[in-house]
Amino acid sequence: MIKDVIVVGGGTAGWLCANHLGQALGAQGIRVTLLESPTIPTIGVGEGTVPAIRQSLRKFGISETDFIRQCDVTFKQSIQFVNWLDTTRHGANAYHHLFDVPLPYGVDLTAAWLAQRHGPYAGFVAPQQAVVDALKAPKQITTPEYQGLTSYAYHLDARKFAGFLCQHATTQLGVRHLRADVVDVERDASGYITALLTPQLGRLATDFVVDCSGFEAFILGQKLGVPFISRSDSLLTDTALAVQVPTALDAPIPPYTLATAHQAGWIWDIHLTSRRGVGLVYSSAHLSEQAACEKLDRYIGGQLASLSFRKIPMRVGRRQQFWQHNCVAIGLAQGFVEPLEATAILMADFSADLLSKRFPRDRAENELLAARFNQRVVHSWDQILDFIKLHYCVSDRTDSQFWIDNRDSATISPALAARLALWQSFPPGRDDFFSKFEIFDFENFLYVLYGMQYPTRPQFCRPEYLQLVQQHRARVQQQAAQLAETLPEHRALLEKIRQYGLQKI
Amino acid sequence: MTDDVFSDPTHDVQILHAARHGQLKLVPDPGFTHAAQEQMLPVVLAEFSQLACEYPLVFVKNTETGQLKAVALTSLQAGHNLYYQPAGWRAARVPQVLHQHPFTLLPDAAGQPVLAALLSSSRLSSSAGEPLYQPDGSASGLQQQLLGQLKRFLAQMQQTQLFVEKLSALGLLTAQRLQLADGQEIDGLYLVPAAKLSALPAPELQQLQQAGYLQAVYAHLISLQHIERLVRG
Repeated sequence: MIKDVIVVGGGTAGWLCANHLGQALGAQGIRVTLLESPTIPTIGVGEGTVPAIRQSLRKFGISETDFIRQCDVTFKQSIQFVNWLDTTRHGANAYHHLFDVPLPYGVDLTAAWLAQRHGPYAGFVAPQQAVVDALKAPKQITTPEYQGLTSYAYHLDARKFAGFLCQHATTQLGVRHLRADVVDVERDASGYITALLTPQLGRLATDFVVDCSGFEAFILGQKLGVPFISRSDSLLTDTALAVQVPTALDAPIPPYTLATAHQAGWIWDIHLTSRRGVGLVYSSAHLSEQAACEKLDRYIGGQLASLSFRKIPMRVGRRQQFWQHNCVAIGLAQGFVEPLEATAILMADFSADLLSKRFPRDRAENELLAARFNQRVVHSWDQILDFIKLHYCVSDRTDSQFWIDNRDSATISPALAARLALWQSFPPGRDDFFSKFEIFDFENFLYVLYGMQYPTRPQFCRPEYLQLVQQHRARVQQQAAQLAETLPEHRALLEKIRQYGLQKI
Repeated sequence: MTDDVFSDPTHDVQILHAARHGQLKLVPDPGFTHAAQEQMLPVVLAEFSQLACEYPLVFVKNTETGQLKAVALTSLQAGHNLYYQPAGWRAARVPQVLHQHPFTLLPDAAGQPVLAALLSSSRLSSSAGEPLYQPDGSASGLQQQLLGQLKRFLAQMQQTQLFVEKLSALGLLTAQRLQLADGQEIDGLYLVPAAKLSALPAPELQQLQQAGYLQAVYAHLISLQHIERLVRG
């Protein structure tokens, strides 16, 4: 019987996991412990989320008001991709990957858009485009917690978030919090972990281990020997320079993440309430560190000398599997991909939720569940890697070798290449996605492909369809105008939440 | 459904000073003309039982703060008040809030609550009415009485807020769309569904009872029948 679970690692992934497991297992009499290293600092740069995080926070019993107040949260409704197309051909260019689905009132307008290509795709299919353009919040002060008039996620301070989740897990969900370094594990004859060895607390016996130790995957990788599969052959960036830039307390806050392409990668730009997190992601084979620093400095308006920045090496890829014997890796221990679509917290949350909902009671169940978990999470990882790659390989930039290399067919997976070929003829549809558990579904591909002017040939459109499109377009425009007019300014709403809080109902 | 009038910050509300307002007099208005267009009147816990005989008592969100508050509905249409008529108020009981007009309390420099008034109100005059100051510049008996009354009212409002928060915390309040007999739909009202009250576990029910809230909850439930009265106009 599994009675005792230890989560190793006190970063965002570890505490997300502790909350999921504490919430699901506490009532079943299984003890959940989080073991945090007192010596290893957390990475603390994952600051973007996707809307699914709302379900998790709500499930944990967290008040959205408390979360917003304590983690310097801002609302995120989109990612705006800037200059991902050739500026000599398109001029300065930008498009939104919105969180609202591009199927207004259930109808796919893509074929009609392809016929004309008038204006940005996102604005054609979603009222939310007008909301983000107007820098408005996704909800009113009267809108209940976790509900929105448009779909939203959060930007947050990763360190504060880990502390907040720690507080909740330990005080509300009965999770035990210990501080010690794991230096080795004890395993039985079949390879299952039976104890963690620490200099501070000695031998900690356990029935199940969740490895949230970060990049190094100390337990799954180093102790259980699960190999790392590099994907640097496909995704060419390998380094990030991260910096925090203070912002004025009355400056407008964009309700979206900015991702601005440059000659050898891109720059993330996430606005919290009193600072921006900015990071320049690049391929060191295509750009020197010196040149990267200069680019970052230019982007933040020449302040780099007065701020301290961190260089983060990025090893793109994933472990061959994530659940081996009685050990599951979650978070960066699973693998890493550049944060272009905010997938770090997403994957940690998704995996921890999956684990908590189907947690084994004994070894027989453990075997069954491990196989299923590995199948699903491996599939998700490969989907994510392909989706990130999509952003690069549909670009028409030719201004540097980086962009040219990114379109080399040797860097594109056969699955993605086949889809791209299909989408030359037809826009992505639900039928192109066979699994119900896609992390990025065809809606996401639509925003990226047509944000980037992908040359799908015009479709045959029946007159009845075009008539329906006309009605729905009118509704989209009307709703866009109404939302952009009535929703509060982003910072103003955050200020009100600070003052009055949001209601639960 | 929204409320807007009582917290309107553009109103010209000022703290009263003998030097500036020594001549000010209060003109009586038994018809409560100022409320002619108030669709909702804030109510306090202590008057729930009485007002329930004549008004629907419901909960709404303040559009500025999102916070829930208890109000008497006077109409189903914004900007209308079916209880007001020039000949006189159409109910025997009136919510206490109407008696406070045009006064309120504001903190002075030391943070103490002092009397303030909406100077643009037609209830204030320098010629007719009952004086707020004595000839020597000290507060009149009327002013002292108003100050005491406002302080008690404010305390009751705070007590009522605790009541509303308790209902919310117990999960008793539910957003409800009312479908009226004439097909009209009313949004933005929060009510206590009788079924939820019945299903409340004994310890929570006892908390409501001991805090003196249970009677108000029943008053709220009974008062809802007056909504049909508002439909008829």
